[in-house]
Amino acid sequence: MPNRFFRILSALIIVTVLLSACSGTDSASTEKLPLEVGWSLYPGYYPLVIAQELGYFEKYGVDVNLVFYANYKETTPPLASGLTDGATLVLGDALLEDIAEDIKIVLIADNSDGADQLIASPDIKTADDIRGKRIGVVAGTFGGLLVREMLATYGLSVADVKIVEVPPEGIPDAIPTSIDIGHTFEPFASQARAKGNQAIFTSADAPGLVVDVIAFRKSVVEERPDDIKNFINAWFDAVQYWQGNPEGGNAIIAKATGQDVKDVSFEGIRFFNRAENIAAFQPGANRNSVVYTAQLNMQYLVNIGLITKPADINEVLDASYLQ
Amino acid sequence: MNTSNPAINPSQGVAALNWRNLNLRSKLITALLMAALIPLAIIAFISYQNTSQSLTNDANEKLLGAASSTAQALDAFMEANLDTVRYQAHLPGVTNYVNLPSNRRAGSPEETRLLDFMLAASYQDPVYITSVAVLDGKGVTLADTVSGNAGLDRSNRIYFQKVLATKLPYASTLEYDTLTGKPSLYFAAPIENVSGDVIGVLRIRYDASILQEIIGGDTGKAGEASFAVLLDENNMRLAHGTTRSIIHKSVVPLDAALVTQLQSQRLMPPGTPQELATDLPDFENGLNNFENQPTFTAELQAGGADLEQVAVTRMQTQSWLVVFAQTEAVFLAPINAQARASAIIALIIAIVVGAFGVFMAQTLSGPIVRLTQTAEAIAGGDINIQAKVETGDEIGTLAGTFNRMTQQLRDFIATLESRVAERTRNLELAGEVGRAVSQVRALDVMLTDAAELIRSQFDLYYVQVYLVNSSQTYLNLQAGTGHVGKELLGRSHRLPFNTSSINGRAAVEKKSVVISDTADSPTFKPNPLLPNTRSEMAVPLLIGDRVVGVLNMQSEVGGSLSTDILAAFEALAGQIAIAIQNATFLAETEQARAEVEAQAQRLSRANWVDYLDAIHKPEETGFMFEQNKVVPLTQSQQTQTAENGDALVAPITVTGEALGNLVVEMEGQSPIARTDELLTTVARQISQQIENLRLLDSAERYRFEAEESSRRLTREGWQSYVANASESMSYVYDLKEVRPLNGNGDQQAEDSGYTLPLKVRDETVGRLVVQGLEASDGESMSLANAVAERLGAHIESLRQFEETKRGQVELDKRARQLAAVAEVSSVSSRELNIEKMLQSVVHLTQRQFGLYHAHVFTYNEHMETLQIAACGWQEGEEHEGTHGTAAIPLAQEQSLVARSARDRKAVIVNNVRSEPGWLPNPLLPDTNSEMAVPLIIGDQILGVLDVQSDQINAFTEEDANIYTTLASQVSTALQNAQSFVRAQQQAERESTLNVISQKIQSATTVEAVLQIAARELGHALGAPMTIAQLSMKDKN
Repeated sequence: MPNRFFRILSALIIVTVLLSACSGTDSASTEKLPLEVGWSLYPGYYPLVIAQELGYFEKYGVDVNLVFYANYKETTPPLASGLTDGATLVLGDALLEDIAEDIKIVLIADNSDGADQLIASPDIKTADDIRGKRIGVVAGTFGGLLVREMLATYGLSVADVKIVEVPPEGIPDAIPTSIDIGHTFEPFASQARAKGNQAIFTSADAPGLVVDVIAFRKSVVEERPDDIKNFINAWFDAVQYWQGNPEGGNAIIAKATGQDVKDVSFEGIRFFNRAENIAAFQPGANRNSVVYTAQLNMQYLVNIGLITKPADINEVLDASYLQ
Repeated sequence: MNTSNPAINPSQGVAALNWRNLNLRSKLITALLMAALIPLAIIAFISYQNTSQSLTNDANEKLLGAASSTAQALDAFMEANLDTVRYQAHLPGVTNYVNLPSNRRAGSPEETRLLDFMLAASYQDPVYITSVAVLDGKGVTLADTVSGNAGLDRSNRIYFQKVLATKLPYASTLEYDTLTGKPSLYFAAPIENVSGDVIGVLRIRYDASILQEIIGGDTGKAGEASFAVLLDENNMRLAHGTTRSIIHKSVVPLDAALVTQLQSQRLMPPGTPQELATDLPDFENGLNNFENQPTFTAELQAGGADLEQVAVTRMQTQSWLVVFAQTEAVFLAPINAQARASAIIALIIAIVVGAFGVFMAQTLSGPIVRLTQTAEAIAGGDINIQAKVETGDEIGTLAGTFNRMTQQLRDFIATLESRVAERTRNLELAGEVGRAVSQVRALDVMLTDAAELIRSQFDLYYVQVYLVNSSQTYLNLQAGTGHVGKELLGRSHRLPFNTSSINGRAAVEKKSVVISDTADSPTFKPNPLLPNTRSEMAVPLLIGDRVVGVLNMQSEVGGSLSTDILAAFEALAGQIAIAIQNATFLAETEQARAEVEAQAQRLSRANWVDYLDAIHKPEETGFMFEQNKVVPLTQSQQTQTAENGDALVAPITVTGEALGNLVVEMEGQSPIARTDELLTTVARQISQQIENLRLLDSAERYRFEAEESSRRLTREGWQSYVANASESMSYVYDLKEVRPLNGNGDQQAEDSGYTLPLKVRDETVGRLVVQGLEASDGESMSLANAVAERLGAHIESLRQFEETKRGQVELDKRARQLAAVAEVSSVSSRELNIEKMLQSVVHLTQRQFGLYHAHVFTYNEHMETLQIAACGWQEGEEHEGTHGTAAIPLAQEQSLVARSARDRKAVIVNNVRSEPGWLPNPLLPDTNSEMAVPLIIGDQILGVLDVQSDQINAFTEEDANIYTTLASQVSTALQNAQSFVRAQQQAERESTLNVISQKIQSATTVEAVLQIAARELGHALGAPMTIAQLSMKDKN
């Protein structure tokens, strides 16, 4: 009797103590939400579709929810405000003040290697033809940078032309009524060319200038580094698959995006594998270094009055998840 | 541990932990723990409450502050944009273009300036501003930074209509794209001409994410895990600091009609009311009541386990609510830390107190526990164990007291056996005295003997017996021991029959009075003649319920006469009472006889002879009561009365024989009812008294005959013994074989041989005859002599050995039998119901003596038969209840029972098959030996105790003595019981008889009986003439 009594008494005391000691710490675990990644139609972003369709994300144990935006420009506000965790976007847009302070660029998706084109009406051939013409572009984007590069190539400046705010999707319809030259990319470039228009300058003419990146919000990167790494692993697998199996990849993408398979290709896109990514993240004096290119973009943004306080590029670029 | 009881168990499991069943140590430790922990728990609870309240207040303050700050930020954003759109709408680049006639706008320089302006305006926020547009006064889009929108009609949009109506800048609520559901925020301002007319509208479109940017940016502003939520006027979330999935959902489902209306106004995204809502009524209630109660607690997320503390504030520029919330558990975390600290302190206290409790328990309860173990050991039988006195406190005292108690227990147990033995001895002595006094008939002698016997047997100082006088007014001293007794008797010492004296009290209350120690008694009155009395006892002598006297005993030793030995004296008193009664009966009988003799002497010799013969021979004696005189009846009157037709006649009969008549002559109707009955009763009284007188004579005669017969039987028994012992004890050897000596042939040889005597201690017990032995042959003679001598010695030693063996067995048997006698005696003296008493006696006798069977027969005087009153068959046995079925006439020759009753002597037949006087009982086929012992009191035969054995030679003379003793006990008991029965019957009779009967009974002569009968009856009946007459003459 006494033994049993003391056993019960001490058990009661210990249980009471443990219960009170544990309360408050037992509800700390939080639900793990999928990584919300915004994207829009662009061949450089399609490996995301392949990774999703072929289950590479599951393979690496990362839950990813791809959020599609019909208009590229719609991708950035949700990323900036935190409605998405990450997004595919152009390097220049990632450096905009409201975005750059909240994100980390963790991956170079591709360089536009001819995919971005300046489409002109058929009669425009020379620099003189270009002078005084209306050029449709979304100001403040790499399109503007590409236009400047093109004008420089022809010995012209922005002052010699008339810049009209036209998004890439509107280019096929805008030529020749409201603009003469416009910046766009596939599949809109093909559509525009199909109307008899021509490409007078492409990103292939300015290698390394147009860089697409994948950025995640700083808070997400800090809280879920393994998910980011696994996302990148799935990305590289998808790139490898598409490059090794273009037709299969194209078919998957066409099906998932509802396009005609003949409109899908990675032509004009230069993907960066892991090693190239790591190399590109190194500082450099030319456009092979994304650091350098970022500085070019930053100068451009400041120049056109889009930036009040430039972000620290080294803060925004973060290659650590590529390792 | 509890192992024996599975029931409390459970139920018992925890029920076994009944507080009352806990040992001392557990209780002590529990009490200490309670004393330490309960205050701690109370303090912790109060502290918890206070801290919780203050933490909640603190959190509310912070949350309200954060909500206000966020609302201010949103208001600032709204106001800044309203300001911006207001002044931009009035910039010349805008107004100039709108002022142009519509046909001059396209390609105009104003258009270029407008586009540049719009691009610059969009640079204000390159991320969130998704469009800048200019509308004309009719709502048609003149220019839009989004290509393709020019020319679209926006006149139905709220921002356009509001601006047109108010002419003031306007900030829209969220509007959702009808196709994609994408939400936007619009700022619009009127474009006015110089006259102040609204000629267009400038509007800036923000991606609604800007709200999330502001709200999300404030996450954590009010502390860890705090966040903001922005809600519109329908409590639909516009932005949420932590959970994106519920943005653009209302807190509770909205009315379907409202949803449809809002959707048509682009104020809600597409979807059903359920899809567009969560279900959090508490949150909704809190929000609706926030004006009164800006802080409250609610669940902010369906399925979220945590309650949130919520603070609400309203924006200035919009009718939106800013909510700031924090999980309760987070801001209450310090409480948990405090609780943990309290718990750890509690644990430490519990351990310390527990250890202290164990120590205290060891010091306090240890001795008690050991004392308890000692007590249990003693209870288990080990009375020699000693408790250890460990401390000087109460527990030590307890242990010491306990040891003294066990010492007393040891002493008590040690003396118990001697006390039992003493009491047994007292009872034996009482029995002995009782037997002794029951033999004595004369009351004086008997009581004197009894007093002296009691005094000497019990080693008392003084013993006396008082008898109650007939009027029950005094106790007269009847016997007393020693010179004190003589002196008191000489003074005719008596005590009043009341409670003033010990003896009087015992008599009045019919209850023994014991004064164990005179020194302690307030009621004891010392008798100057008996200065040494230290202890006294007065025992009433009771017959049935009637007190006949008091037995008083006094001892010189204080405490020696105690209630312990009272039982023995009460038994003794019972025997003495019976003896007194018997003696009284005897004395009365003697007195009656003396009166008869006196009467007889008064008669002439001739008359005496005639009288003695009167019962047998017809004689006419009569008396007549007439005119208040009793006169002898004359011959002529006899004849006359016999012929008188008016007379009532009752016969006087003795043992069925009519001896005479009682005649009452009536004149007319008798004044007394039931005259016949009275007459008959009186006649019966006369008969009875006459018969009593006759029986008195018979008793004298029987006693003489019994003594005679006893003497005869003793002689015969001795002779029979000698005859049995000398049979077939001779043997002869004829060179061939050894064989028993037989008659003729051997007789010759015996005569011709040389005879040597076989001697034992110079006593010749037999002889050795050797043929052909010459006296001259010295060597042979010497050998033969030596052989004869050895033979004698050896026969003697063999005999002695057998006797010793037999003696030992006999001794054991006697011991058992005596014990049995004591038991039978004890049982029989307790039972007054004759049948039950006899039944107990035979059962006990049969079982205790290991008999085959035992009966008790009772003697029926009237029938002169012996009837079985009890037999040894026990309940359930085959022949149970056969008693009463068999009756043996006293005169029957072939019956041991009848013979023993007739001879008033025990009859033993050790081999019934060879006894012609034995009456076989078909129910007892195995009987081989039988003994019948008469039950006698004085001369009166009460019955016979008959015992049977299936062994031959089962009963010896010694057994006869034992059984006779037993029989005398049974007889006393039987008579006692019969007296009791008789007393009862007599009481009944007395109640029905009147004074007449008593007077008749007081008569001692036949004449007196008849005279009294005639007179009293005559008086009572008022008859002119009453005749009581003894006459053998047949009336016919």
